[in-house]
Amino acid sequence: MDREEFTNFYAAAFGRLVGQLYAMTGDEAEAQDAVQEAFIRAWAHRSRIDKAGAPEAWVRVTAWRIAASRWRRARRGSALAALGPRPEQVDGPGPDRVAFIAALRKVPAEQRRALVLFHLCDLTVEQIATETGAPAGTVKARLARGRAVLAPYLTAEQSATPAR
Amino acid sequence: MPDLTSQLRAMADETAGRSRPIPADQLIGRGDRLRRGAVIRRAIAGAGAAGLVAAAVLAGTAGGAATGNGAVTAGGPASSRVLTLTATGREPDGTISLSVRYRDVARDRVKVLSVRYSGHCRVPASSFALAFVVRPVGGPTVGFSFVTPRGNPARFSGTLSRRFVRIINGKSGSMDSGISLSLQLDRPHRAPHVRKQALLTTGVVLDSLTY
Repeated sequence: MDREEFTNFYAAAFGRLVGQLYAMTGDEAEAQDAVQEAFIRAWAHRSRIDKAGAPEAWVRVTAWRIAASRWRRARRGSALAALGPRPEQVDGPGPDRVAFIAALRKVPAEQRRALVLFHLCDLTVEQIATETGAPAGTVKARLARGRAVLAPYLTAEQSATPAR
Repeated sequence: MPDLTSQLRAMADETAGRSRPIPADQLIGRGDRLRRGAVIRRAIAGAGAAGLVAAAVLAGTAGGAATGNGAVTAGGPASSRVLTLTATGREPDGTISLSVRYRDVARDRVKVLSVRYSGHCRVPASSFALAFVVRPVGGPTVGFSFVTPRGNPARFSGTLSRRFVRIINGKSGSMDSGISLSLQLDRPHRAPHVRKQALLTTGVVLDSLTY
Protein backbone atom coordinates (compact mmCIF):
# COMPACT_ATOMS: atom_id res chain seq x y z
CA MET A 1 0.00 0.00 0.00
CA ASP A 2 1.64 3.22 -1.12
CA ARG A 3 1.11 6.67 0.33
CA GLU A 4 -1.72 7.61 -2.02
CA GLU A 5 -3.58 4.35 -1.48
CA PHE A 6 -3.22 4.71 2.24
CA THR A 7 -4.43 8.30 2.18
CA ASN A 8 -7.52 7.26 0.20
CA PHE A 9 -8.13 4.36 2.55
CA TYR A 10 -7.77 6.65 5.56
CA ALA A 11 -10.18 9.21 4.11
CA ALA A 12 -12.76 6.58 3.19
CA ALA A 13 -12.65 4.41 6.29
CA PHE A 14 -11.89 6.75 9.19
CA GLY A 15 -15.41 7.96 9.87
CA ARG A 16 -16.93 4.53 9.36
CA LEU A 17 -14.49 2.95 11.79
CA VAL A 18 -15.01 5.68 14.38
CA GLY A 19 -18.74 4.97 14.19
CA GLN A 20 -18.16 1.26 14.66
CA LEU A 21 -15.75 1.79 17.53
CA TYR A 22 -18.12 4.20 19.18
CA ALA A 23 -20.85 1.58 19.06
CA MET A 24 -18.41 -0.90 20.58
CA THR A 25 -16.95 1.34 23.25
CA GLY A 26 -19.69 3.83 24.02
CA ASP A 27 -17.15 6.66 24.16
CA GLU A 28 -16.92 8.86 21.10
CA ALA A 29 -13.68 10.63 21.94
CA GLU A 30 -12.07 7.37 22.92
CA ALA A 31 -13.26 5.76 19.69
CA GLN A 32 -11.77 8.56 17.61
CA ASP A 33 -8.46 8.41 19.47
CA ALA A 34 -8.25 4.63 19.17
CA VAL A 35 -9.02 4.64 15.45
CA GLN A 36 -6.53 7.40 14.84
CA GLU A 37 -3.84 5.54 16.75
CA ALA A 38 -4.71 2.37 14.84
CA PHE A 39 -4.26 4.18 11.52
CA ILE A 40 -0.87 5.46 12.67
CA ARG A 41 0.13 1.89 13.44
CA ALA A 42 -1.35 0.75 10.14
CA TRP A 43 0.94 3.09 8.24
CA ALA A 44 3.92 2.07 10.34
CA HIS A 45 3.21 -1.62 9.66
CA ARG A 46 1.72 -1.34 6.20
CA SER A 47 3.83 -4.15 4.78
CA ARG A 48 2.25 -6.45 7.38
CA ILE A 49 -1.21 -5.27 6.37
CA ASP A 50 -0.42 -5.85 2.71
CA LYS A 51 0.39 -9.45 3.52
CA ALA A 52 -2.67 -9.96 5.71
CA GLY A 53 -5.14 -8.21 3.39
CA ALA A 54 -8.38 -6.69 4.71
CA PRO A 55 -6.83 -3.43 5.98
CA GLU A 56 -10.10 -2.15 7.41
CA ALA A 57 -10.50 -5.23 9.57
CA TRP A 58 -6.87 -4.84 10.70
CA VAL A 59 -7.46 -1.23 11.75
CA ARG A 60 -10.73 -2.14 13.49
CA VAL A 61 -9.12 -4.96 15.47
CA THR A 62 -6.16 -2.76 16.37
CA ALA A 63 -8.41 0.12 17.42
CA TRP A 64 -10.45 -2.26 19.57
CA ARG A 65 -7.30 -3.53 21.26
CA ILE A 66 -6.09 0.01 21.85
CA ALA A 67 -9.42 0.96 23.39
CA ALA A 68 -9.53 -2.20 25.51
CA SER A 69 -5.96 -1.58 26.65
CA ARG A 70 -6.92 1.96 27.70
CA TRP A 71 -9.85 0.67 29.68
CA ARG A 72 -7.51 -1.55 31.59
CA ARG A 73 -5.12 1.33 32.22
CA ALA A 74 -8.00 3.58 33.18
CA ARG A 75 -9.19 1.02 35.68
CA ARG A 76 -5.75 1.12 37.24
CA GLY A 77 -6.10 4.85 37.61
CA SER A 78 -3.72 5.97 34.87
CA ALA A 79 -4.48 9.18 33.07
CA LEU A 80 -5.57 8.81 29.48
CA ALA A 81 -3.46 10.59 26.96
CA ALA A 82 -5.28 12.93 24.63
CA LEU A 83 -3.83 12.09 21.23
CA GLY A 84 -5.92 14.02 18.80
CA PRO A 85 -8.64 16.56 18.30
CA ARG A 86 -11.71 15.99 20.38
CA PRO A 87 -15.13 16.26 18.77
CA GLU A 88 -16.59 19.71 18.84
CA GLN A 89 -19.74 20.49 20.74
CA VAL A 90 -22.73 18.94 18.98
CA ASP A 91 -26.47 18.74 19.37
CA GLY A 92 -27.57 16.13 21.87
CA PRO A 93 -29.28 12.93 20.75
CA GLY A 94 -33.02 12.37 21.09
CA PRO A 95 -34.60 10.54 24.07
CA ASP A 96 -34.82 7.22 22.19
CA ARG A 97 -31.17 7.41 21.26
CA VAL A 98 -30.16 8.27 24.81
CA ALA A 99 -32.13 5.30 26.11
CA PHE A 100 -30.60 3.04 23.49
CA ILE A 101 -27.05 4.20 24.23
CA ALA A 102 -27.66 3.76 27.93
CA ALA A 103 -28.88 0.23 27.28
CA LEU A 104 -25.95 -0.50 25.00
CA ARG A 105 -23.57 0.52 27.73
CA LYS A 106 -25.08 -2.11 29.97
CA VAL A 107 -24.04 -4.80 27.52
CA PRO A 108 -20.63 -6.32 28.40
CA ALA A 109 -17.86 -5.19 26.06
CA GLU A 110 -17.31 -8.45 24.17
CA GLN A 111 -21.05 -8.91 23.64
CA ARG A 112 -21.32 -5.34 22.40
CA ARG A 113 -18.43 -5.93 20.07
CA ALA A 114 -20.12 -9.03 18.65
CA LEU A 115 -23.37 -7.12 18.16
CA VAL A 116 -21.63 -4.30 16.34
CA LEU A 117 -19.65 -6.64 14.10
CA PHE A 118 -22.80 -8.59 13.25
CA HIS A 119 -25.31 -5.80 12.82
CA LEU A 120 -23.16 -2.86 11.82
CA CYS A 121 -20.20 -4.40 10.02
CA ASP A 122 -22.32 -7.14 8.41
CA LEU A 123 -19.89 -9.88 9.37
CA THR A 124 -21.04 -13.47 9.64
CA VAL A 125 -20.68 -15.41 12.87
CA GLU A 126 -17.65 -17.19 11.40
CA GLN A 127 -16.06 -13.90 10.40
CA ILE A 128 -16.68 -12.48 13.85
CA ALA A 129 -15.13 -15.57 15.34
CA THR A 130 -12.05 -15.03 13.20
CA GLU A 131 -11.79 -11.34 14.04
CA THR A 132 -12.34 -11.74 17.77
CA GLY A 133 -10.48 -15.02 18.19
CA ALA A 134 -13.47 -16.62 19.89
CA PRO A 135 -15.20 -19.86 18.84
CA ALA A 136 -18.34 -19.51 16.73
CA GLY A 137 -20.48 -20.89 19.55
CA THR A 138 -19.18 -18.23 21.89
CA VAL A 139 -19.97 -15.55 19.33
CA LYS A 140 -23.54 -16.82 19.02
CA ALA A 141 -23.88 -16.84 22.78
CA ARG A 142 -22.58 -13.28 23.00
CA LEU A 143 -25.01 -12.14 20.35
CA ALA A 144 -27.91 -13.80 22.12
CA ARG A 145 -26.99 -12.39 25.51
CA GLY A 146 -26.37 -8.95 24.08
CA ARG A 147 -29.75 -8.98 22.40
CA ALA A 148 -31.38 -10.10 25.60
CA VAL A 149 -30.06 -7.02 27.37
CA LEU A 150 -31.27 -4.83 24.54
CA ALA A 151 -34.58 -6.65 24.11
CA PRO A 152 -36.70 -3.80 25.50
CA TYR A 153 -35.35 -1.57 22.74
CA LEU A 154 -35.68 -4.00 19.84
CA THR A 155 -38.46 -5.09 17.56
CA ALA A 156 -39.57 -8.72 17.71
CA GLU A 157 -37.70 -9.96 14.62
CA GLN A 158 -34.34 -8.90 16.04
CA SER A 159 -34.42 -11.42 18.87
CA ALA A 160 -34.17 -14.36 16.45
CA THR A 161 -31.04 -16.50 16.35
CA PRO A 162 -28.52 -15.25 13.79
CA ALA A 163 -29.01 -16.98 10.43
CA ARG A 164 -25.70 -15.90 8.86
CA MET B 1 -39.22 1.18 18.01
CA PRO B 2 -36.45 0.80 15.38
CA ASP B 3 -34.55 -2.47 15.15
CA LEU B 4 -31.05 -2.97 16.46
CA THR B 5 -29.34 -2.75 13.07
CA SER B 6 -30.92 0.56 12.17
CA GLN B 7 -30.32 1.93 15.68
CA LEU B 8 -26.66 1.02 15.49
CA ARG B 9 -26.30 2.33 11.95
CA ALA B 10 -27.91 5.65 12.81
CA MET B 11 -25.70 6.03 15.85
CA ALA B 12 -22.54 5.08 13.93
CA ASP B 13 -23.42 7.34 11.00
CA GLU B 14 -23.94 10.31 13.30
CA THR B 15 -20.63 9.64 14.97
CA ALA B 16 -18.87 9.18 11.64
CA GLY B 17 -20.23 12.53 10.49
CA ARG B 18 -18.83 14.23 13.57
CA SER B 19 -15.42 12.57 13.38
CA ARG B 20 -12.49 14.91 12.83
CA PRO B 21 -9.54 12.98 11.42
CA ILE B 22 -6.15 14.61 11.60
CA PRO B 23 -4.66 15.41 8.17
CA ALA B 24 -3.28 12.35 6.38
CA ASP B 25 0.20 13.87 6.11
CA GLN B 26 0.33 14.39 9.86
CA LEU B 27 -0.88 10.86 10.50
CA ILE B 28 1.66 9.40 8.08
CA GLY B 29 4.41 11.42 9.72
CA ARG B 30 3.47 9.98 13.10
CA GLY B 31 3.42 6.51 11.58
CA ASP B 32 6.90 7.05 10.17
CA ARG B 33 8.17 8.18 13.56
CA LEU B 34 6.56 5.17 15.20
CA ARG B 35 8.27 2.87 12.73
CA ARG B 36 11.66 4.54 13.22
CA GLY B 37 11.24 4.34 16.97
CA ALA B 38 10.51 0.61 16.76
CA VAL B 39 13.57 0.02 14.58
CA ILE B 40 15.75 2.05 16.93
CA ARG B 41 14.50 0.07 19.93
CA ARG B 42 15.24 -3.20 18.14
CA ALA B 43 18.64 -1.89 17.08
CA ILE B 44 19.53 -0.83 20.60
CA ALA B 45 18.36 -4.18 21.96
CA GLY B 46 20.49 -5.99 19.39
CA ALA B 47 23.44 -3.72 19.85
CA GLY B 48 23.31 -4.09 23.61
CA ALA B 49 23.62 -7.84 23.29
CA ALA B 50 26.79 -7.37 21.30
CA GLY B 51 28.22 -4.83 23.68
CA LEU B 52 27.56 -1.95 21.38
CA VAL B 53 26.06 1.08 22.99
CA ALA B 54 25.12 3.32 20.13
CA ALA B 55 22.97 2.63 17.18
CA ALA B 56 20.98 5.03 15.13
CA VAL B 57 18.47 4.58 12.45
CA LEU B 58 17.75 7.52 10.34
CA ALA B 59 15.23 7.99 7.70
CA GLY B 60 14.12 11.11 5.97
CA THR B 61 12.77 12.64 2.88
CA ALA B 62 14.51 13.47 -0.34
CA GLY B 63 16.64 16.53 0.03
CA GLY B 64 18.01 15.69 3.42
CA ALA B 65 16.93 15.67 7.00
CA ALA B 66 18.70 15.47 10.30
CA THR B 67 17.71 13.46 13.31
CA GLY B 68 19.53 12.78 16.53
CA ASN B 69 23.24 12.36 16.03
CA GLY B 70 23.17 11.65 12.31
CA ALA B 71 21.62 12.52 9.01
CA VAL B 72 20.41 10.97 5.83
CA THR B 73 20.34 12.39 2.35
CA ALA B 74 18.49 10.87 -0.53
CA GLY B 75 18.40 11.49 -4.24
CA GLY B 76 17.21 9.86 -7.42
CA PRO B 77 13.91 8.24 -8.33
CA ALA B 78 11.86 6.89 -5.43
CA SER B 79 12.01 3.36 -6.84
CA SER B 80 15.80 3.18 -6.56
CA ARG B 81 17.25 5.94 -4.48
CA VAL B 82 20.80 6.31 -3.30
CA LEU B 83 20.89 7.30 0.33
CA THR B 84 23.77 8.33 2.52
CA LEU B 85 23.29 7.52 6.13
CA THR B 86 25.64 8.95 8.73
CA ALA B 87 25.86 8.49 12.45
CA THR B 88 28.27 9.96 14.95
CA GLY B 89 29.11 8.68 18.38
CA ARG B 90 30.48 11.26 20.78
CA GLU B 91 32.18 10.25 23.98
CA PRO B 92 34.52 12.03 26.36
CA ASP B 93 37.30 9.98 24.77
CA GLY B 94 36.59 11.25 21.28
CA THR B 95 34.30 11.04 18.29
CA ILE B 96 33.60 8.34 15.74
CA SER B 97 31.55 8.72 12.57
CA LEU B 98 30.18 6.18 10.16
CA SER B 99 28.79 7.06 6.76
CA VAL B 100 27.06 4.42 4.66
CA ARG B 101 26.01 5.04 1.09
CA TYR B 102 23.42 2.56 -0.08
CA ARG B 103 20.83 2.04 -2.74
CA ASP B 104 17.22 1.42 -1.88
CA VAL B 105 16.77 -1.25 -4.56
CA ALA B 106 13.30 -2.56 -3.69
CA ARG B 107 10.87 -2.96 -0.87
CA ASP B 108 12.85 -4.23 2.10
CA ARG B 109 16.01 -4.66 0.00
CA VAL B 110 19.06 -2.44 0.13
CA LYS B 111 22.48 -2.58 -1.48
CA VAL B 112 25.47 -1.08 0.25
CA LEU B 113 27.62 0.99 -2.10
CA SER B 114 30.34 2.32 0.17
CA VAL B 115 31.21 2.74 3.81
CA ARG B 116 33.36 5.55 5.16
CA TYR B 117 34.51 6.17 8.69
CA SER B 118 36.37 8.89 10.53
CA GLY B 119 36.99 10.16 14.00
CA HIS B 120 39.48 11.07 16.63
CA CYS B 121 40.43 9.64 19.97
CA ARG B 122 42.00 11.40 22.93
CA VAL B 123 43.10 8.23 24.67
CA PRO B 124 46.87 7.94 24.29
CA ALA B 125 47.91 4.81 22.41
CA SER B 126 50.35 3.88 19.69
CA SER B 127 47.63 2.30 17.52
CA PHE B 128 43.95 1.51 17.41
CA ALA B 129 41.74 -1.09 15.82
CA LEU B 130 38.38 -0.50 14.24
CA ALA B 131 35.86 -3.32 14.40
CA PHE B 132 33.09 -3.21 11.83
CA VAL B 133 30.15 -5.48 12.66
CA VAL B 134 27.20 -6.41 10.44
CA ARG B 135 24.10 -7.95 11.94
CA PRO B 136 20.36 -8.02 11.37
CA VAL B 137 18.62 -5.94 14.00
CA GLY B 138 18.22 -8.18 17.00
CA GLY B 139 19.98 -11.02 15.21
CA PRO B 140 23.40 -12.62 15.29
CA THR B 141 26.51 -11.13 13.74
CA VAL B 142 26.74 -12.08 10.08
CA GLY B 143 30.03 -10.40 9.27
CA PHE B 144 32.81 -8.34 10.72
CA SER B 145 35.98 -6.70 9.61
CA PHE B 146 38.92 -5.18 11.44
CA VAL B 147 40.82 -2.20 10.22
CA THR B 148 43.94 -0.71 11.69
CA PRO B 149 43.97 3.01 10.94
CA ARG B 150 47.30 4.18 9.55
CA GLY B 151 49.08 7.40 10.31
CA ASN B 152 48.21 9.43 13.36
CA PRO B 153 46.21 7.10 15.64
CA ALA B 154 44.50 10.05 17.28
CA ARG B 155 42.81 10.97 14.01
CA PHE B 156 41.60 8.33 11.63
CA SER B 157 39.51 8.10 8.49
CA GLY B 158 39.11 5.68 5.64
CA THR B 159 36.86 3.57 3.49
CA LEU B 160 35.89 -0.02 3.97
CA SER B 161 37.27 -2.35 1.32
CA ARG B 162 35.11 -3.14 -1.71
CA ARG B 163 35.60 -6.80 -0.98
CA PHE B 164 33.95 -6.48 2.40
CA VAL B 165 31.15 -4.40 0.90
CA ARG B 166 30.55 -7.23 -1.60
CA ILE B 167 30.45 -9.71 1.28
CA ILE B 168 27.89 -7.57 3.09
CA ASN B 169 25.64 -7.50 0.04
CA GLY B 170 25.88 -11.24 -0.41
CA LYS B 171 25.60 -13.30 -3.56
CA SER B 172 22.34 -11.65 -4.60
CA GLY B 173 24.01 -8.23 -4.57
CA SER B 174 21.58 -6.81 -2.03
CA MET B 175 20.38 -7.61 1.46
CA ASP B 176 17.30 -7.32 3.60
CA SER B 177 16.70 -3.88 5.03
CA GLY B 178 16.84 -3.48 8.76
CA ILE B 179 20.43 -4.65 8.98
CA SER B 180 22.66 -2.79 11.39
CA LEU B 181 26.19 -1.72 10.65
CA SER B 182 28.19 -0.73 13.67
CA LEU B 183 31.69 0.49 14.15
CA GLN B 184 33.74 0.57 17.28
CA LEU B 185 37.20 1.76 18.09
CA ASP B 186 39.48 0.02 20.49
CA ARG B 187 43.07 -0.67 21.27
CA PRO B 188 44.22 -3.65 19.20
CA HIS B 189 42.93 -6.95 20.48
CA ARG B 190 42.05 -10.31 19.17
CA ALA B 191 38.59 -10.37 17.70
CA PRO B 192 36.65 -11.94 20.59
CA HIS B 193 37.88 -9.36 23.06
CA VAL B 194 37.42 -6.21 21.04
CA ARG B 195 33.79 -5.67 21.88
CA LYS B 196 34.37 -5.72 25.59
CA GLN B 197 36.77 -2.81 25.56
CA ALA B 198 35.37 -0.46 22.96
CA LEU B 199 36.38 3.15 23.39
CA LEU B 200 33.99 4.62 20.87
CA THR B 201 30.99 3.14 19.14
CA THR B 202 28.41 4.17 16.61
CA GLY B 203 26.05 2.43 14.23
CA VAL B 204 23.34 2.78 11.65
CA VAL B 205 20.41 0.66 10.57
CA LEU B 206 19.83 0.50 6.84
CA ASP B 207 16.14 0.85 6.27
CA SER B 208 14.42 0.66 2.93
CA LEU B 209 12.43 3.81 2.20
CA THR B 210 10.76 2.32 -0.85
CA TYR B 211 7.19 1.17 -0.37
